[in-house]
Amino acid sequence: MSDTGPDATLIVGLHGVLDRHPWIDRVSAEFDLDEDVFSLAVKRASAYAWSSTALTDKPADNLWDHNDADGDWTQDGQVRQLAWLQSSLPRPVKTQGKKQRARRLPVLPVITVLSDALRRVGTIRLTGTHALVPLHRAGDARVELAEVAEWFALADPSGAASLTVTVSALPSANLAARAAEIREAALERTYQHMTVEPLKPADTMTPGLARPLAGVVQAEGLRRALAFRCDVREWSTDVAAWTTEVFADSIRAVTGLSGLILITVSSEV
Amino acid sequence: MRMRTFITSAALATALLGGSVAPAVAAPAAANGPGVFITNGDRVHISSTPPRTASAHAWWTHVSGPGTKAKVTIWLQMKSGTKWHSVAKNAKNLKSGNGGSARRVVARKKCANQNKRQWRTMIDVDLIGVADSPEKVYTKSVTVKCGV
Repeated sequence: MSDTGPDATLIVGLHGVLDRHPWIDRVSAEFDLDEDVFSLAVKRASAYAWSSTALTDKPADNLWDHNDADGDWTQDGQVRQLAWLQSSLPRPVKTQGKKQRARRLPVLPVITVLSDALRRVGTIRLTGTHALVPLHRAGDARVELAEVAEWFALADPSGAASLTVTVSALPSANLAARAAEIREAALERTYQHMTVEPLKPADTMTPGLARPLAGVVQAEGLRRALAFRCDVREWSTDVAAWTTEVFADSIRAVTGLSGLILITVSSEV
Repeated sequence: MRMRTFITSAALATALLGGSVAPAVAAPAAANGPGVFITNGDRVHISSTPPRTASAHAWWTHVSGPGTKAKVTIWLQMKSGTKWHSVAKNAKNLKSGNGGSARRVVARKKCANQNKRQWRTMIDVDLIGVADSPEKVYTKSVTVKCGV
């Protein structure tokens, strides 16, 4: 029996510039390695006990089921889609007699796995992220977002950054009509550690993303509906994940939408 | 899988996976110690780039014992009515591990429509030059918007 619906796909991509370690080829030759995003992401997800691809009789209780992963490691100093991962989010296991809270989207774990994979092979300058998220698998994240807010206050003041966030959805969702409510919800969830100012979606540039974004097939029909400028106290993979979850949870709460939406976060390049 | 073993290694497999496996066994011609490996596979999914294609990968992980290469065969299966049908197949001789596309085998089938169908893969790992059990393993079935 299937426990993963057809639209429970989560696709996350990291964009930026990768400078491969000079010793990678020598060590790869020495130990007969040919590591890529796919293999490193699988290894790292297993190491954290978040997702296993081992086909055992009793399947692991995965946060996500691995589907695919890849990345563009061209060494030309240009912004590239360095790593992306496609997964399916399993339905929560039902425990008899107990109603369990829906799981949050594993955005930070997936971004951490991809970030770890990239940092294993080189140094990265992160410029953006994209996440195609299934809102119907997004549990209420308000408690955790309240708990984590001060984490992002404790940052080097010299690292402040200005980000561009965009949200794409099916036109039938009419997200633009709820833009003010979504902005308010995002502000409530960031406890004054992020500013959120509306932008005109059509005019908004996202220079930190290398297109086409992984997941164009799954994102078919989605159109950009919202754009915001968000000032934050640092720019990191953690902040990218936090920002993505803030907007996913705000849209979940305001609209009650299910299905896929695309959230991009771009830094200034 | 399951973890696949030689006849001498059932205890090790049980220890490794906490008794959660039902190790398949085979009688090797000249086993010189326990042999254990794991079959790995990802879920059938729609490729991230067009054209709309059902896709899945398989690979294997050597745990212990003889065998450095295996012929890994993957069948992409779709359910029609109550029966599973193989709609694509691929096989490759692979070293253990998943590092690089050369250590994974992929099966693909272009979708004819976006109808919701149940998909899974069947995977066989056949160690080259070593006797192992003939059983095949299956990935979890998933609903995919892809009919063929």
